[in-house]
Amino acid sequence: MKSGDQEEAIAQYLTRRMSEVERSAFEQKISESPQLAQKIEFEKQIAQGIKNYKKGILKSRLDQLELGPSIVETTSITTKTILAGITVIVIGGLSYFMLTPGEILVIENQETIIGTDGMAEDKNAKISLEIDTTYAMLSDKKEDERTSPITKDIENTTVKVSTKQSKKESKSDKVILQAEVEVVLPDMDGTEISFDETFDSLQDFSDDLMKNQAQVSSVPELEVEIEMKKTKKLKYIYVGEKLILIGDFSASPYQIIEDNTIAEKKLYLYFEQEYYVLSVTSEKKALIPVRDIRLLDYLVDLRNK
Amino acid sequence: MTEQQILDHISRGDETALDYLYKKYYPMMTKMVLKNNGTVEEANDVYQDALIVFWQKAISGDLKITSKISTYLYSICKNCWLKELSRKKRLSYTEQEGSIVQSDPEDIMSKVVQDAMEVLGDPCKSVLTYYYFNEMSMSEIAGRMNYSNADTVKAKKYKCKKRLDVLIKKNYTQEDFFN
Repeated sequence: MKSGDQEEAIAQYLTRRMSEVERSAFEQKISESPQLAQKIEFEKQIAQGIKNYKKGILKSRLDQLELGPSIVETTSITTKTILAGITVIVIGGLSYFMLTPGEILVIENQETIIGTDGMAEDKNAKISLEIDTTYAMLSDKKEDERTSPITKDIENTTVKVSTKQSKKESKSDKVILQAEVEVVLPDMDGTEISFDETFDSLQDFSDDLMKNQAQVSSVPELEVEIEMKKTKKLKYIYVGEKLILIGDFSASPYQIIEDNTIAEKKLYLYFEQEYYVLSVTSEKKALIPVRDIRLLDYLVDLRNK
Repeated sequence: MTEQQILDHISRGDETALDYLYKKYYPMMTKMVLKNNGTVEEANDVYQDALIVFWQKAISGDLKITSKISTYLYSICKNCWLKELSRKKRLSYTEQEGSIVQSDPEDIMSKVVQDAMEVLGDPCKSVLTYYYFNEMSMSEIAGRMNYSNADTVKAKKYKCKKRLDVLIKKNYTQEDFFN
């Protein structure tokens, strides 16, 4: 057999181009010639090297594909947590109505309940407030307040304020926000405070809360719009401080989670049990659910906070 | 794109079908690795390997698929990950035993060939990869590369292989491979 013919035969053998009969005959030759067997082993390695070469090219092609920011999140969350001192702002319950451009953000006033019963007995008592705030109408509820005087023993009082989200009635221009804010009141100096003083203090305090809430609600000038489309594919555009969500967001409320660190600001979307990373993009980009377990844990934790 | 359309694209060597598949099943496949103590890098690597195995089988006509692509791909992924876990376990055992971890001879050989391939011109690279990786017939390669016929491809492939052999042997003897 000529050298060229033999090499061709080896190549055909290695790439399974031989028929069963040819293959058997060739294997017979291999078993009779150690030199041929060694040659085949050598050629096999070259063939494998060529395959690996192509494999490498395909892998680098895949590496360069843009997958969206979902699972490929590799930043160490722990490090981020330690180094950055994370400021988390959760804008909860931005109802899908908010997505209509041009809507005015209003915090609806409902009722104010101040519960201070029994606080006198507890040095570190907590005052729970459910305050539904309105920029203009807080004082309207003043006469409804029934509280016992707060005694001089109150120290390090923590006030927890939560405004509950409710669904906005259709055609209403109001949007109700959900926010939970914990505020530590300064130590009281021991003087007994009458109801009015208490209320004034609380009112001041609620004004502070209003301020806080306003800060929350205005989360760094992020403007969210929704382009309603009856499609299962969710997309978004996020450029500047404007976020446009494209798709059918009518089924349930969504949340924008902002994770501010010293190094960077990250935005996430929570919608229908899925988390999405929102990266800056001026073109429509598909929302791809986060699948990285560590990132998911982090986001769940973040959201729960 | 339907599954049949995907397979048709692959059989034509359309690598955009590879991109499409990669993106489509990325979360599903990598999740399996991540859920089984794999890192993101390992998940990527295993999924890419699995997808290339699938691609190679499909393009060479070796694929006898009776299930959905995702199911088939998932099973390859799973096997790849089990293989990787087993390799890691072996490696860890070797390290514990204090043995010196030597480079795999096959990896060295593969690197030699890949370096030599890099030196070849594009037509040679294409002919050789079509022949060895895609396992395309001479006529198919002729069609793909606009050669007049299968014999032309055969001659071209022969020359390219010779050139590759020279490059390989230039720095490495055959004995190096077997040592």
